[in-house]
Amino acid sequence: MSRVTHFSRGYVKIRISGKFPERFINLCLSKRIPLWKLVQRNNHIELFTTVAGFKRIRPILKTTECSVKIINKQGLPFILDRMLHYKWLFGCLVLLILLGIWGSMYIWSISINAPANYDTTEIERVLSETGLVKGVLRSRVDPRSISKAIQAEFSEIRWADIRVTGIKADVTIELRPNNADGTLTTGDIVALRDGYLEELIVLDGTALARSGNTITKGQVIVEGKVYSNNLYLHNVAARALIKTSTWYYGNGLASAEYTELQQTGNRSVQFLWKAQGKEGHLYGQRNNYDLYTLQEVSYPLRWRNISTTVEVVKRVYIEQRAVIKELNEEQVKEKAQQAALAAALTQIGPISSPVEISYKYIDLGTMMYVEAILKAYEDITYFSIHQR
Amino acid sequence: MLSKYKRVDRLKANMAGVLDIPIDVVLDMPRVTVIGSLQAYVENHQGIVFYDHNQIKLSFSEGVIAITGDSLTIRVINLDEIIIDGNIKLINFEACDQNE
Repeated sequence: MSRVTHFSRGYVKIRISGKFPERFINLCLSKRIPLWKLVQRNNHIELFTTVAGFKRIRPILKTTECSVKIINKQGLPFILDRMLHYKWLFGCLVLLILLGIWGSMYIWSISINAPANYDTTEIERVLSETGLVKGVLRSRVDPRSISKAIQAEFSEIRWADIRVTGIKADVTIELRPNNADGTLTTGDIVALRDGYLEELIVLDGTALARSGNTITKGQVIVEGKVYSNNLYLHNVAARALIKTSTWYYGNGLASAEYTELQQTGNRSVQFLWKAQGKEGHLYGQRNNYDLYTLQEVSYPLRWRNISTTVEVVKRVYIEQRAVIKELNEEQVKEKAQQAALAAALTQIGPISSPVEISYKYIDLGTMMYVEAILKAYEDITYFSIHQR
Repeated sequence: MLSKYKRVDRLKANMAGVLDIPIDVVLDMPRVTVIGSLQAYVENHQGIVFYDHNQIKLSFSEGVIAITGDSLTIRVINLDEIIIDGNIKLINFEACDQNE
């Protein structure tokens, strides 16, 4: 704190030399002259004292037969004094500050934020008529009267917001949601399916549900009607920022025993001819296997660019056998779980974002039944037009 | 035979002990606080007797405190307290008789 005081009042670094510097210090102390940072050099002492203290030093110097020399002047008074040497610079700085303050009292920039393709030249005309032009005093601008004037002039404008910040005026225009024929489409925001209302910010209309509510299919979330003190005023197109989540269910069933087909390694190859839906054996071995898979390759007969309807078919019969396998409890559970999840994922919409998956397990003895419940963020609302 | 001043001081010291008052306050004696060998803080001094970058001698009611070291500087000095910075090596009390 004392540093701040010393800086604001100014202080000097002095050099004391003479016969009795210790006596000089003691006398300064007795007269309550502040001294600090005393350093003894060869034949003198360097120390700091305040400007006021320095002025009271002279009589002590005479008494103690010491001499003083100022080494350095520091602090705010000396800085200001140095600045005053450059009077023109200081004057320009002051003038610049004054100009800045004076300039900030006026509006120098007007920006109109209107929907795309909306012609703002007429808006500019109304603004200039109501006094909002470049170079006007900020105190003379009345945003409320300008807003009213714009709304009175243009029926398609629902509201106009004028904000004056610094030297800038922002005019925001919001148009009425009209149809092509000029009539107003009004309606509600309705739930498309059951879900949970995570967040709701109503822009137009009246909220009939709150954030954190569970909503059911067909429930009106935002009503396209405006009330004032419970009195109906008029219809609007309900608008809101809505974040909803919903659930999808899928079932899966898996048993501990299942049959797996395995290849035995035996195969037989047969060549046939085929023409107009008929076929006949050419050569090779006919199929004798009970359980098999078939691979068929056909070779149409052609010569240069002349093709025929006859084709030669090669059939390969690969023998298989059925092997009964058993799964452990965990594997059964996992298999049923995968089937349930796959079933749930088939229902989910393209713009959903799944966030949480939970499973319910029902043990049926030899089989395991799993129900997957998939929570996803999804817009489950639609705009329902008011019926006339 | 104790001098008159010594007897008064002893009486003051006994009174300070009975009343739980710091003895340095009652007897107006210096209190020296030393931080390692870097700084010495002396209260109730009565002025500088000698100042050199190797030694500072401070007067007190019953004698002189001599602080010896290297690069000794006085950071702050007031009427009754002084803070000395530097490499302090020795602090010596040189008492003198009150009758002298």
